[in-house]
Amino acid sequence: MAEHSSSPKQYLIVWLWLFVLTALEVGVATAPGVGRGLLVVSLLVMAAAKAALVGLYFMHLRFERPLLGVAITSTLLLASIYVTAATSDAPFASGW
Amino acid sequence: MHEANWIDEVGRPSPWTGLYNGKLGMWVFLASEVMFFTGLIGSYIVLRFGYPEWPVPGTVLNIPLTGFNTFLLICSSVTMAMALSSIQHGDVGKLKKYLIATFTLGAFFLGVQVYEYYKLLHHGFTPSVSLFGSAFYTMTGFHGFHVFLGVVNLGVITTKAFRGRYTQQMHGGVEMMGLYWHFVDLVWIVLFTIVYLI
Repeated sequence: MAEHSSSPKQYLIVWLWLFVLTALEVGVATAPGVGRGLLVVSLLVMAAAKAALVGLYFMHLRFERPLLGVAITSTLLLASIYVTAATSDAPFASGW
Repeated sequence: MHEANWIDEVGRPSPWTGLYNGKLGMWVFLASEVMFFTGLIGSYIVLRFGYPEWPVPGTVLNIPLTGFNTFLLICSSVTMAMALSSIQHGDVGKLKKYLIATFTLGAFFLGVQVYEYYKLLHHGFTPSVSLFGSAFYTMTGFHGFHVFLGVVNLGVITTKAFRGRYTQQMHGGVEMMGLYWHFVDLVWIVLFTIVYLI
């Protein structure tokens, strides 16, 4: 059962990538002179990449039937819509 | 008397999803946890957007220490994956070693978090000092609680492994534990980025 799964070598490669991305994240966040917009976008992209690696290779989503991946990613889509909608009045907010 | 196998332990996978009940159940539970953490993280984003004078997290929190802690949790995810891979290949010895490693790394992560809380509280960064404080302790506290429960369950799984309860044919518990543990790691990856770095 569950023969469809990553090999130990794949796990190590993913681990290396996760280490590199974590180090990059901390580096970008603590480096001086990084623009706010670039900081936020790059950090979110790196976090999403790390999350995807864990989900696809450690949780074996890459090897499960697509239905499961669709079910999970649709929750993330709904979450993004909710947050986007709730922050959409930011330009018009007069503060607390 | 037939030889015990996977189907005896976890049941026949559904032809529709390809998942056995326990695994589907764990995924459904994790989906509910996604909703839980989305509520917390989403609210944090909304609050922060509406409050321009939010403290810069790097001036309050210890980013290098927590970055190292993040790496520890990622390592524990790797050892958990290796534990499952080991028992899938019938290697009970390696299963035990990797489970112990996962348990130790998870416990260490909690220890570092407790130390972090101790330092922050002593420097006056309490849950009631600011909105950031309240949000920080709520989010990391709930995540830490999830890690704690995961570590407790890892103890149970490890004990069962040492009692010879898992074989190449029957190791559903290890797989389900792995899913929960990777999810806890995944949530932390998002939390660390949004709360500590951005």
